[in-house]
Amino acid sequence: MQSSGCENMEYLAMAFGAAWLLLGGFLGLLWRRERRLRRRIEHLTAGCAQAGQTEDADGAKTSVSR
Amino acid sequence: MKGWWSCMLAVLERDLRAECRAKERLGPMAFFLASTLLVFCFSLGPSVAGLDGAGAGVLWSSFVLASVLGLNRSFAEERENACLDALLLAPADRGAVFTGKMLANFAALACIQAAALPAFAVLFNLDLGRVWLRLLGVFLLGGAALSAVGTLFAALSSSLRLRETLLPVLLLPVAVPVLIAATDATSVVLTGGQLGDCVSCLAVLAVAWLVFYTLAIMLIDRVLEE
Amino acid sequence: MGEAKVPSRTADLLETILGVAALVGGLTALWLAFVHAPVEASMGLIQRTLYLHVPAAATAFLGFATVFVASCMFLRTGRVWWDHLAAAAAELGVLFSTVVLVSGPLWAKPIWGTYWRWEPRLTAMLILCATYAAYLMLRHYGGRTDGCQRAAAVFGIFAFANIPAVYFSARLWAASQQLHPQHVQLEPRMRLALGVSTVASALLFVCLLDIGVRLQQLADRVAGLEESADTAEALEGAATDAI
Repeated sequence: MQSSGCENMEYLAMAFGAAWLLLGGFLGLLWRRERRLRRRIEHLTAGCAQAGQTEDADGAKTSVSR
Repeated sequence: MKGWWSCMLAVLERDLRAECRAKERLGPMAFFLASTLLVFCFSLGPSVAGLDGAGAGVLWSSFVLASVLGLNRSFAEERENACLDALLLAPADRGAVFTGKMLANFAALACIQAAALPAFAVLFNLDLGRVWLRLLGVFLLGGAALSAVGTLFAALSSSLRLRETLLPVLLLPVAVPVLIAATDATSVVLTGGQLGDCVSCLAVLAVAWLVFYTLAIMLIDRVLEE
Repeated sequence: MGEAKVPSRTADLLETILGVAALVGGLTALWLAFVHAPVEASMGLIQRTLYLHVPAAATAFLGFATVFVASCMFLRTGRVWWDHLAAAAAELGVLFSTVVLVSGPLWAKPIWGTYWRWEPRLTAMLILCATYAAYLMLRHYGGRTDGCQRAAAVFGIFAFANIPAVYFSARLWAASQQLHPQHVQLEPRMRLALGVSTVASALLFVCLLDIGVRLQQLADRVAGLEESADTAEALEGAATDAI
């Protein structure tokens, strides 16, 4: 089936465009995932540090009351 | 070897006896099969043109969906009553346990397949008089392959978070080749062909069963770990 | 839980080289596909989709094979790294097979007139895409336990073992729809473009795999931290109760 070159250009562009879109979308997904995970890590390590401080404070209080 | 057989038979007997007593699996499976057949019939339209030729596909789709129901119960009961732990602690070959469960599932599926024949003949206006034996042969072969992979995936999903929801998600894509081969063989038989005419389909079913069963036996230790 | 691999200088260097190679390969492939390779006689411009469709299919299979090998190794050795590899490879397998399923119909429409014809190879790719998507659902919804990792590994092995059956049954089912070009004679320039495109696609796959594995390790670290945070909270709660 002979189709005109211009018509096929459309489909060719759509095919490659879609592929790039999928790849880009996937990379975006990975990037968002990394950001979310790093933020969680920061939050958790900061939280642990804080918890450590409060623990020390409690420890100090109990030793004084004794 | 003797221990393997006795273990397998014990598991099979236990499952079959529990089933005969409570009919927790057969009842819902049979009803669900009937409903699914009806749903397909309604969606394909009352005109003969819509239903014509769709019989084999409708039947096997219903079988696959109904088997999911039965498979879910396969390990669910054990998990609920913590019997699985006891079963695993006992010095039993996991392969034997799996084979027993697989045969029990196969038996349940075979029962409802046989029960579906009359309804199927009526709904799709087919004369099954001369072909029912060949049909049953195809049913059993397809059912074996389905039970092998289904029992393993049921064991898999029973230990996970969303157990009943995950089983159909996992089973359906992997069961597509079995579905295709079984449907093809069934249509050949329904249009009056001999079993020799659909040898490639039957071969696919047999090989699928062999591969699934072998893999399952090899991997069952890692699946039923506690 | 496996220890997180500390990135060494060599590993970083290798990663950079890989990334650069993938980029260079990709650009070369694009140039070869659009400029160097001649226009095909019968199909015209649309034939250039070949340089996207075939490498994507090959890479999707590379992904599926990686899942299989990684699943086997995970079950054999128990090292979590293999589990991470399987998870990352499965995602890429689904990605590349989606590219195949999108580029196929867009190639088919100008040539055969319809977007989708139940043509055996495309049908098989559709089934495999669905299978590995099910794998991803298993990982996502199954929970983060050892049992889930083992279950995923077993499913990965089954999925790969099923591939011959998928191809055979798709051919059986849609034999009448066989329209896919079977063995095409390609000019040397086209063969070069196709070869380079496939290599570039494979390099891209390895890069993305590396990133994917690192993200899995990161996620593991978060899960570990969350677990210890919960334990710390529980202990704190018990301590304040005692006081």
